[in-house]
Order: sequence, then C-alpha cells, then structure tokens
Amino acid sequence: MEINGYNFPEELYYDPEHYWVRVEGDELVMGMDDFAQKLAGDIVFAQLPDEGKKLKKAKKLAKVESGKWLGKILSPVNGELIAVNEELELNPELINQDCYGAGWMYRLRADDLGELEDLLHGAEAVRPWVEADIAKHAPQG
Amino acid sequence: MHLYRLGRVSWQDSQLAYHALAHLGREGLVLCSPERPYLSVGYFQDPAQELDLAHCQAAGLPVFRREVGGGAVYLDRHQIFWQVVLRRENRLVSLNRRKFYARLLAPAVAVYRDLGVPARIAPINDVAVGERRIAGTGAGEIGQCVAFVGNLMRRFDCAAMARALRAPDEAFRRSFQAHMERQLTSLRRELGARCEAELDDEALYDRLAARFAEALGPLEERPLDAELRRAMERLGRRLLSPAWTYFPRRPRTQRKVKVRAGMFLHYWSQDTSRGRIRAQFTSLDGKLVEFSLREGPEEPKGLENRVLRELMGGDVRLLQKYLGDMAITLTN
Repeated sequence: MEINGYNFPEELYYDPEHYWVRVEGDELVMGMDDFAQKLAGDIVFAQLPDEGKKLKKAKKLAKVESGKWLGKILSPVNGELIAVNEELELNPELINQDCYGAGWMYRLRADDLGELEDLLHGAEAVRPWVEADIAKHAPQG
Repeated sequence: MHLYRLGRVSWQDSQLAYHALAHLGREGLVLCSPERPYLSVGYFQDPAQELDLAHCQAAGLPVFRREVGGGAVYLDRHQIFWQVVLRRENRLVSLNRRKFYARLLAPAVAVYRDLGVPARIAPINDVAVGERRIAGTGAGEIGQCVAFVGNLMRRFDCAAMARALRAPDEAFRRSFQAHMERQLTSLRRELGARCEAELDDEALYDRLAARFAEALGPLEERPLDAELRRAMERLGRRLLSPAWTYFPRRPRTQRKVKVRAGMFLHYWSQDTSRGRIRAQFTSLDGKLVEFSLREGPEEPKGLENRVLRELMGGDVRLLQKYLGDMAITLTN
C-alpha cells in the first residue's frame, strides 16, 4: 500500500516507532519502514547485537546512526534475538536501498506471538497512523 | 527549561552532565567548556581505529566515547559547548532530522551572526561560513530524551586534531590537516584579534543563553543538583571505563574521515597476491574529486590515469567498487 509516496506493505505489522515486523513461521523478521528510512537519510551504522540477546518489549534492542543522529531501535516483542543481517556491518545503506528486503535488520523469536496484536496491522490501522505522522514530520512541498 | 551554565569544567563533566540529564529524563540546556583538551569519538567508533592512541597517551589526551553520533573530534577550552536535552515527546523533536536540526541550530547560527560572522546552516547539521565549517554537532537518543550537542568555535587546533587522528601514513595526516585548514574556520579566523578581546567565555554564554531561550522558551539558571551529580558519578563509572571507551569493532579496509559537510578524505588499502594497493582520494557530495595511487601493483599499467580519466567526477562508490573488483582479480 502506498501512502503519500511512502510504501507500507499491507501484510506487515508496524511498530509506532516505524519499524516493520514480518511473521515467518514461528519467527519474526524486522527492519526500518520506508517512512523512517527516508526521513533518516543515509544510514551509516546499524548495530548488530549478539544472537541470543534477550529482548524486552519496548526496550532498546540496538542503535542505528544516520546524519550524526544516533537512534534507538526498540524491541517490538518480548523474546530473543536469533539472527542479525550481517550484510549491514559493511553495507548499512541496504536499509535505504531496500528496507523491506535486503535491508532487513533482525530475526527474533517472540515469547508470545499474541503480542503482535499490539502492533499496527492492516490498512485501517496503518493508513491513519502514517498520514498523521506524515502531517507531523514529513518535509513539506 | 533549566539552564546549567557550568563554565569551565573537567573534561569528564563536559560530557557527563548532558548524558546524566538525558538518562534522568530531564530537559535542559548545558553551557560549558573543558578545562583541558581531549578527544571525543562517536558511539559507533572504535578509538583504536580512529585515533593514534599512543600519541594520545603520550600527549595526555583522554578519550571519551559518547552516546551521540558523528565522528572523532579534538575538543578544548577554545570551544564553547552547548548541549540541549529534550524529552522525546517535546514538540521540537521530530523524525524529520532536517527540521529538528534547523530549529536547534538556529540559536548558534544567530550568535555567530550577532557577532558579525555570516554563518548559515549547512545541511544536514553543520554550521558554515561560506563553504567553511564552523561547528561540530551530533545527536543521540538517550533514555527517554534526545541530546543534541555542538559548539561555538572560538579557535580550532587543526594540527592537534590531525596529530591525534590515526593515519595510515604521514602523507595522509598532512593531507587531512591541509584539508581541515582550508575547510574549517573559527571566530578567531573570521574576526581576528577582536575575538580574543571581546569574546570571553562569559560573553559567549550570555549570547548563547539569550538565543537558545528564543527556541526553547524561558531558561531558568540552575546549579548541578545532588540528583544530577549522583547520576554523573554513576554514569562515569560506565562511560569512563576502558571497556566502554575502547569497545572494539571489526577492522576496516577503508579509512574515511570527514573534513566538512559533504567532504570526506578516504584511504583505501588492500593486500593482493601481487602486492598491496593503497589509494587516497577525496569525495565531495558523493563525487570523486581527487585521487592518487600511493602504492600499487605493476599491472594493470596506468591505473591512476585510468581512474582520473574515467571515474573523476563520478559517484565515489564506483571507484570503491572498481578498486575492490581489481583487488579480487589480482588475488585470484
């Protein structure tokens, strides 16, 4: 689904901090959404924590840097980090180039997949949230 | 909002105060300068890869790794620090970095202009006079806050910065210093002796406080209270520890240092089975503007001329790909 020039695939779940989550079996894959990567500009570093890291919902998972801005990435669920996208160590710009594909960031195992219900999902939920954030943050003109 | 006009403080406190405010979730503006020189590196930087640590140790230059983005920088008392800490829900904090930086760089730009220096914001977050940079800045999400820090540059010691940098060879260090001297400026350079006569620390703090009040709202001056001091002490145990400061990162085959907004000096080195290739080049806004081959294999002949002829002015990533592909070819 395209919302004012920003791509938001409808099958994904979205964290209000602008990270997406895709369900793959009993695992979750996450990354930065199109709106966030466009506003962030060139991503120059993405932290890749050790696999096995215990995750707490809404607590820091890692950090990411763009334009001398060091941002926090929060975990969307309670669980465990089971893999990171090693490509980002040398090519963090993949997040800008293909945020829903080659620029994926982390693979997680959730303690309870039911926590996904707390994320935004489906056009009815995603569209008004994105439109409000565009009005609030996006460049004008 | 609270103003912490700390004046001349220890190098540690010149970093710990704003980190402590942010970790406590308290908004504020800190104005200070360090009583002795030191180096500060960005969160993602490995000091062992960025700095000549043997020199830093011999010269008594401490190193601090901040929870803020950006690169390595030499800091001393000739730079007046301003450090803004805002809660993430503050209306001034935006996902739109350009908007955020524009709002919060405006006070520093206004102070330069008040002093007769025609400064402007150089996107995304530098301050420049003409094409010369006159500030260093960086931002970081810390706790429930965002810290945005920068400085007014009364003077900048390019030689000290270049000496402290880890350089693959002395030619690179000399190039870096020469680029900095051309591309950076300061109040001293813009205003001459008037700068020293009229612009002591207190005068600059007054001006910064007045201009930041326009952006942040009324500022109420406060001393560092007991809660802040305790937080600084607690944070100091972590942020001043060798384990935090010297956290190692994967070594890189490339060295890239920022000269000013959009301009980077690169060093590229790769061992191949036919010898080492070493190249130094400069990019401006992502385009290759200077190139020299410092060491290379006998074949292919005319490598330097070919780069100059075919890749100059193009996307610098094409050169990096070209060098990488060539190294693979020479190794196989």
